[in-house]
Amino acid sequence: MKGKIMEKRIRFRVNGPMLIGLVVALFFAFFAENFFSASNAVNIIRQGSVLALVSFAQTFVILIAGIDLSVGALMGLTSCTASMLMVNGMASPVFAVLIALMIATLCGLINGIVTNYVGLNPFVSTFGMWGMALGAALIITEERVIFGFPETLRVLHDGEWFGIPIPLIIVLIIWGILHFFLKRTAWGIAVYAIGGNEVSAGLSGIPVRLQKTLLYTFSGFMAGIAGIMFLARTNAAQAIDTIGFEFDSICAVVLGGTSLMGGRGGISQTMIGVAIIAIARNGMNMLGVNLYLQLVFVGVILILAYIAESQKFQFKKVKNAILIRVGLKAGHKQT
Amino acid sequence: MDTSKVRASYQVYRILAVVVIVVGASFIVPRFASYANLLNLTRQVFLLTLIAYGISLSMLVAGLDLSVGSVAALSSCLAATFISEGNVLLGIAVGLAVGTLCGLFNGFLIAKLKLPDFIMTFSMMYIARGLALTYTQGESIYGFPGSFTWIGKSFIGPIPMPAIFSVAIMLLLYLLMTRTTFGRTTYAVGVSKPAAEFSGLSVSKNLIQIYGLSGFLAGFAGLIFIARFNSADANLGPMWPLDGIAVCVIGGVTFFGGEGNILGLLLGGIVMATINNCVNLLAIPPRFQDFFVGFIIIVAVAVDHYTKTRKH
Repeated sequence: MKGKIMEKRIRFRVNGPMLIGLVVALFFAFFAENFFSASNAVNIIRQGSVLALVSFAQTFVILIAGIDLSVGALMGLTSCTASMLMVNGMASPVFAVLIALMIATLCGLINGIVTNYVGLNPFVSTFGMWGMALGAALIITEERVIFGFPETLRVLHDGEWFGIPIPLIIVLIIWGILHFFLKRTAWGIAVYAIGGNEVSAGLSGIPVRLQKTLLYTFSGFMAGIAGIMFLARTNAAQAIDTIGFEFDSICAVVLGGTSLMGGRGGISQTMIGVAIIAIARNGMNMLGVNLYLQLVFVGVILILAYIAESQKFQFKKVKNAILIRVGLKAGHKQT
Repeated sequence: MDTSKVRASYQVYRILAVVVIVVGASFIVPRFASYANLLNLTRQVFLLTLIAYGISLSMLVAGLDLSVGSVAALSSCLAATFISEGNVLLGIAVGLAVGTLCGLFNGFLIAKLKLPDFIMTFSMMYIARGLALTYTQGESIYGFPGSFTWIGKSFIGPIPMPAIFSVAIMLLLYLLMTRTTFGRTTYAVGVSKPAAEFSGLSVSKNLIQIYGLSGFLAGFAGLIFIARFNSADANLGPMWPLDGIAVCVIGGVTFFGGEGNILGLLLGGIVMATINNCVNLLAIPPRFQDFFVGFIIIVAVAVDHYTKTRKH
């Protein structure tokens, strides 16, 4: 009995995505010089924080069996709006950031309304928003790179608090809040209910449309925050710089083990997915793999992760069959 | 009987709307109705439909092929190496083969491993783009012999060659979709996969064929575009999925599958080309186009959706 509990606990602690992450990290630790160092760890955390913020919001949207393809473009729109306001001296940094966040939230709200009240496939509506946000960002920046901001913004990326990088603190706080929200509040449980079965969730009295709309709005807001973090990191804004984050974020969510069919997964799993992608990207940079080939790797990882996730039960069947054949496990042998 | 009447009335409305848009544009926008501009417009229409064929096929089986632009870039870059060395036929064969292989790969994983179509083609979009960029290292390949560039640059009378190819493909696809078993199977699969399966049709075979055909058409479009530009670039067609979806949706091909007609793409092409053309003539910067396209897709799908749900 005791052994069984132990086994269960270990199985709970170490799951597939964690193993993948460990293998990836070990691989780069062996093959890339200077990978296994404290300064590089801090670097990975700083790089990964932007992705973590986008992926959190993407997790919520995927948990309700939706998808948000507009996050990358919304990040670009946010950083471009904020930087144009600051550079033209129209607003103080704080005010500029607030306006930009409001615009991103509004775009998320439009996504939500078009998807849930008009009834479009989330894939279409957010892809349309992708085009609109990218176009709008190109229009306001006139396709230029915007730079020369006040130093205050850099703190978000470079700053430290008792030796802990500020991006890590922000991510951890948001992680804690969202995890609490998802696991301990009625609204959080409702997210799983909607993802599991929308009709039965509606019959149980959950305001399905309203909640889904709010989650898309939240996704827009988080994309905005990630856009600001990205701006603090690069210290220059360009409309097309953040295109691709939608891909990385979906990949991180799926890698963590959140089901694209909705209803299974969570914020903490996504954290592991984010870590894997951040480590892999950093390691590939250290090995000198060019940026283009990294796209290919991330794409392949996404497909493999999805296959592993959807074929999990068959893997178990195959594993059991092998174990039975070798004789490590009791079972009726086929003759 | 009744539903076919309803569908026919939709087509009439669509054609009327397109006529209104074009006539309106010719009154409002100066120089729109000139001979030179209309010729230019015709070329734009057929280039847009050329992009949209593969996407429309995948939408007919209730899927979506987002990888067309990237696959076109990959296949045309690989083909360009051979063509610039003078092996025109080999280059064309390589281009079409690479496109078809990418499409078959999409179709295989979607049909056999049950990957969601958009996740698979979305990944393929980045994989093919990454491979193309790695292959060319971001440089463009140029200097094609005249025996190749004629497919993109020459004219028969006043009509440019790409338009003729596009019309030929449209007619072939129309016949394929309406007159053959393959076409009927495709519509059946698009309406309901389980129903098609129970009727004894091989759904997975059909899906693989459709995505393979979509990849083949993407490779073909890539070849025509590099012949037209006389250079191959790994950044070819990043906006193709968006443009193609807009053309399909306006042309009456729905996301739910099994509905729509290849000839309808002509209407979508005319609307999109008219808008792009007016944007140019009114001297609005081209960066506004992305914005418009995103907007048009949402409005067109919303109108379509609204009229359908009201009918039932």
